[in-house]
Amino acid sequence: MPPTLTLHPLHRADGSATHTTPLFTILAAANGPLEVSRRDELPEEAAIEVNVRPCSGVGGPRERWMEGVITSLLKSLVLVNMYPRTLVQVTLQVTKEPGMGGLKRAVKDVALLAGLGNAAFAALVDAGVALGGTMVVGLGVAREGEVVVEPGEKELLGCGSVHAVAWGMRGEMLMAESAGRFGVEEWEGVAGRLRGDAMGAIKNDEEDGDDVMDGEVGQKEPWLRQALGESVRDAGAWRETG
Amino acid sequence: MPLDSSSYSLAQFSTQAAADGSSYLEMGQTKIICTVNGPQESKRGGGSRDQSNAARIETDISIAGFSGVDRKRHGRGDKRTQEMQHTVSSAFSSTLFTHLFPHSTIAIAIHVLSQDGSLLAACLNAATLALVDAGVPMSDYVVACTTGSTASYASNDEEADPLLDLNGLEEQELPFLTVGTSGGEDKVNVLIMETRVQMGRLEAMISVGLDGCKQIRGILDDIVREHGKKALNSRVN
Amino acid sequence: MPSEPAPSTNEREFILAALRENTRLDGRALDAYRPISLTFGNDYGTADVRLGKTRVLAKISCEVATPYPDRKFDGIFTITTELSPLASPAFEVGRQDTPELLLSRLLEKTIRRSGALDTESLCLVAGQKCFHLRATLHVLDADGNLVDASCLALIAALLHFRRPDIEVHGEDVTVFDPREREPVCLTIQHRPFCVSFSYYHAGEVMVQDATLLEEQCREGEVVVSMNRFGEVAQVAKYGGPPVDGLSVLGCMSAALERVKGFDKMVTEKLKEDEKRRDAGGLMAELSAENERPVEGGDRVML
Repeated sequence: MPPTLTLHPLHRADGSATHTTPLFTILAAANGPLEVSRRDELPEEAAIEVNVRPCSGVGGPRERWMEGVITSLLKSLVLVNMYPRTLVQVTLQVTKEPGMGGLKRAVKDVALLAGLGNAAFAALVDAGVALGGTMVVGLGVAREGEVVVEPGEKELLGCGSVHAVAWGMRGEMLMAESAGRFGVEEWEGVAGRLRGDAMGAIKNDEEDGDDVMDGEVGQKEPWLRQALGESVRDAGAWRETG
Repeated sequence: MPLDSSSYSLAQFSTQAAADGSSYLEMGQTKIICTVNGPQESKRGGGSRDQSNAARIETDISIAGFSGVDRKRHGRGDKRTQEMQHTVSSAFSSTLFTHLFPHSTIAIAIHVLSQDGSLLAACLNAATLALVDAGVPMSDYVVACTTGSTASYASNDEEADPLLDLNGLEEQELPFLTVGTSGGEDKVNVLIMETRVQMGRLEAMISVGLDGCKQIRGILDDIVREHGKKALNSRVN
Repeated sequence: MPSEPAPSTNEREFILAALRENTRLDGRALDAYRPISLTFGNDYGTADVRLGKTRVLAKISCEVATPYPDRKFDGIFTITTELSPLASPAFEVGRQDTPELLLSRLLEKTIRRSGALDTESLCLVAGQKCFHLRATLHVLDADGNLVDASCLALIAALLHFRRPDIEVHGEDVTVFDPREREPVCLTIQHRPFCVSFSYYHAGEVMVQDATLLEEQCREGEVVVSMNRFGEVAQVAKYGGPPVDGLSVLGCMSAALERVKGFDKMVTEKLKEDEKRRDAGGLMAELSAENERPVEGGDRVML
């Protein structure tokens, strides 16, 4: 089942998105460009601040680590040079997480990262912050040489390793986080599979002979393109009626 | 119900020479020093000037570790204390003529030396005295007192008389509220209740509280006039 | 950091003038609430309250912990309220400001101090083991009246929550997985709700459920918390211009009516949710017989 993406569920934030997978539901809000405190101000680019808020309680070191990973991911995506001396603020709220029966925290964290990345990206798109391109964070698990993408709770429980890899629209890798025991071939297998899926998620149906595909076959429907395309159509609806 | 005015006999003015205004107040075993500085320029460092068109009232309450029965450290981040600070600040926000002092701050510092009930009420009364001493223009005194309901849950004795001006022990046992007035006989400025009580009892409690406030207002007024007379005499001679 | 944009003088004057004629910007009566929606999540202990554009999500979770040494027979119950930039760009991360302080204090007084939750029932082994019940409040959209919405969400979530079943033999405690034994409800002793009144024109106009704009223009507020039996858990009027004693008492009776409505709504929604769960519940129970894990603590059944 592809993830579902709802754009602009919140009223007050500049941009927001809900990203739902069988594992997590994440609500993301993006505000920006904002006034930046003098301490964080960068003379030639926008500062990016990411806040991860757990489902229950207040965040701890794990959330801080995830914030760091997502911040560097977004830095490579947002055209920071367009907004010097400003702040782009992304808040990621986990609103649903799996029951966690004996799931390792490290595994869960990597699984969460995939959702956080996708939600943050969608919120930034909704906020109208200039981005350098589209990206998809895929999640895959390896288990005795077998690769499962978009795992459910069950697959996550019995996996050998879990990988969250972010791919940009030009096929470049933006982020790779893994947990568990795995070899290089195994990792390459998962990453390749996720690349194919990522390209599939942003594939343009109308374009024939897509050279970005590189012969890899994305099995999935282009969910990200559909969600974003729909919001663009909705936003431009007034033109047609007028 | 008459209020034991002897418990207020220890209300003093201008106790701290360094501050613009100060007071010392004892309500039973609750003892409080209050100092007021200002109106003065906002000390918010970092370049950003205070652009407001009315004075800001900042309250800081510190509760001494030896003030209660158990020697507990009261951190500054204590939410209950912060709530009291907010209450004192906003109680005076409509009584002081803050609009006369744009871009400035009036700082109220309250030190609780000993606590035995009616803490918030004592803070408000002490702050009123200190603000009068500092000469901050205001439309009326803010006076407060506590009332407790003696009616028990089981017996439906609605006519039981509410208590006025509770001490620490009574506060632990009885449902009580703090009521503060300014600007008229039955005008409620502050009303804080934190204990569970039947709705029907509130009316009696509030009206007894307002009556108590009236008496305290008289006491405070006497002290202020007394002090004024003294100050005037010393100037004449 | 950005602050909430203050309403313009024209806006403020218009709102105040309209209120003088008992009219509100959105056409509601002075004592009317915006449409309230209360939905429960798939997991137990999740309640989502929408009050017009205000939206609050409450989540309850629970774990086994050691009780405080001075409260050996009580479980631990904490309420976390942290406002984030999700709700409004004016909320800063990691800095506690007045709205957040007041929200957390009001909820604390309404729910914890009034004894809505029986914390003794969370105790497992006195002085050694207890449940730590954690209520986390996520304010997702702030458009006024956060206190009422938050309190409603918290109470609904507490009523909806099920904690794992336990068995105590002397000092040994077995905590059962939800799949082994049906989790149990919390012991809720009463259901207090908050009702906030914003007042204008020196207390002559009392307004319930103010929007953000109305809150920015108000002179002050009175927050009343009570249950449907008219037991007042908390009253707070933090300064502001003085109002008549009588109008404060008027707030009490208005609050009682409102609270009765809240109580009824929560009861109905809980019933609906129960029904929805039960539809699949029967099937799940039938198939559960085969899936029952043997290595669990539930050996008595076999």
